[in-house]
Amino acid sequence: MADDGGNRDGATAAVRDPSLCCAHLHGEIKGAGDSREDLDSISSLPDVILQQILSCIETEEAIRTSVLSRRWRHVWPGTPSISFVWPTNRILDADSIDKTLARYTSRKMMSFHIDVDMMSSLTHVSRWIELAMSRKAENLTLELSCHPCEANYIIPDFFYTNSYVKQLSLHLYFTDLIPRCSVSWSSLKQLFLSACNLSDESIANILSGCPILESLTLEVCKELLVLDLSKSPRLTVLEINCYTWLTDSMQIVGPHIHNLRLENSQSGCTLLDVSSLTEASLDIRFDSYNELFKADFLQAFALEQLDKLQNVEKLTLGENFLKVLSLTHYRLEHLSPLPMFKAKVLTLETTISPYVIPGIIVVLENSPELKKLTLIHKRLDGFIPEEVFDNYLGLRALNLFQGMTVGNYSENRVLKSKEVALFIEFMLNHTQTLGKLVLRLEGCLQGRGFDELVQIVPTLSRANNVSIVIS
Amino acid sequence: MSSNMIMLKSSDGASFEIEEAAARKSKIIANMIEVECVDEDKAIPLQNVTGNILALVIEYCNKHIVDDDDDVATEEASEEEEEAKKKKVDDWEAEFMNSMSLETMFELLLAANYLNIKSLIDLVCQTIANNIKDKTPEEVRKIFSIENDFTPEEEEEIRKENAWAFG
Repeated sequence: MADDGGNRDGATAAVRDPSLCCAHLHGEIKGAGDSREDLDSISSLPDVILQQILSCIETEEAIRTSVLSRRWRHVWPGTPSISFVWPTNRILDADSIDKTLARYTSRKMMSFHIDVDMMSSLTHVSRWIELAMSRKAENLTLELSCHPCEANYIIPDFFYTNSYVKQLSLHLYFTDLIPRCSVSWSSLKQLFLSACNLSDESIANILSGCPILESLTLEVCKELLVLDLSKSPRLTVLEINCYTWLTDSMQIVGPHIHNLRLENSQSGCTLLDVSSLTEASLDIRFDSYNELFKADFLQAFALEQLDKLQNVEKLTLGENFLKVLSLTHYRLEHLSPLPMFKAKVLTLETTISPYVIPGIIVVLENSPELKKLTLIHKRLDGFIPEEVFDNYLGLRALNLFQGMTVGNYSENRVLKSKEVALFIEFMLNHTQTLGKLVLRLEGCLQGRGFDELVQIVPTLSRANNVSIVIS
Repeated sequence: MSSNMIMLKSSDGASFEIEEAAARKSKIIANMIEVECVDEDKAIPLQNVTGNILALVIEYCNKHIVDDDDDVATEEASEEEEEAKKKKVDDWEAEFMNSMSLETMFELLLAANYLNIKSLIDLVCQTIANNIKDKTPEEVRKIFSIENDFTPEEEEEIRKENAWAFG
């Protein structure tokens, strides 16, 4: 078959057998330099296609194509995405951004991302926002990485009226996001707010201006006491991350929320109405350097939160949450009992440690419809150190974490295959309906240990009539 | 599963039979089907796509339609199965792109653009972009056989315009 790339033969062959044709094409040698050294065919692609290619790479790389040849000189300025993120080892000051933007010609921006890392640049921010808005940016990300409080940066009023933006991401380093006018973001579907100073009124104003908002994420947003989403019927996905040292307890009214991811601070969030929830993920963040462990309070609020999740079908619990639930197991005085869950799918994101076992057992015993259980071995920042529990539980701990070593339980400790097997057994012993157990060990059992576990698993699987997948 | 077959005809006269479901990956063809411009006996003529490139497009569409069907068939596919399936598709796409020359990629990109197949456009753009990423202009020129028609002074001038990007 001809292999000169003329391809008429290939096309004919394809009539009867396309795969033959493909095999022929696939046989071509990769790289343009081989048989047509002097053919610069990328440059003959239309601008709009080249710009689409350039929008797959960083803006600074796209800009560098302007020196390739005269053909490329004016291609990058029409790239639909542009981002100025803190480049390593480079000087990106406001003047440079201004100069670059002055050459940027694309009338329609898909995406504009700017990370303002110098105080001196703050005076320019409003102008850049204005430019992105005038180019109808659909995806807008603004990050202030310097401390704008000192510069008293105020987000301009015009920012709050925008009918083009569909995804908006603001990282404001505790600048006020408190509009003095009414908000109208009529096309906005996804809103991500990180370190924004909000108030109950300002978030209400924002929400009322986003009629088609579908997803809201709040990360360390201060001074928010009530998040009332009852007037946002299309907003079904809510994610809240609170970091410990600055958040007060927040109340959430979200009757339309289907999917909730909630990372509580020790102050906790109160779920007032989450009656439509079908999927939820809960954890608690702890700052071991600056905080005392509020064990008693946490136990009460963990139970209270779980009480609201009875109808959730997919439930995910993090390590700290499970640890706190473990404590409720040992309390002598009576706490409100755990409700029965309708969860069919339960995911546990935790290290395999004795401290979470009682918590897991409690949840399993209250999940009579459970079909699938997944355990992902991982430890996130903000975990509650084991010694904090040892101090709290005192001697009680020793005889209750059956079979697994406690004390000096460090995260780097190498697990033994037997311990993991024991852990699996604990879980299986406390559930009747389970069909499938998935264990993602993420490398915590290595080499021989993993092989040993692979040997043990079929026995466990048969004994409990559960299919077990480990990886 | 029964499905309608339709015929596509390339600019150089080659005919291809393709499942309607696969052909619908192309918004242009899907539109033609919607407004019933498709005569069952006649092939849809695609003026801007040669047979060898159309064969690749069809290979891509077939691969991706099968996966979509699987999703429907096993409605409660577990996450692991989803992940495994996604990895399989990713691997296939990597192999698919890896097996063709840059020249073919450009033609495929033009065809995907003409036929309006978003996922294929993205795949090819990303693959081509990977050849520009983390490279010096000199290296990019070499990869794509681009001749530098600037004088050194002109090039220096352009670099100055956006000095930060050339750091």
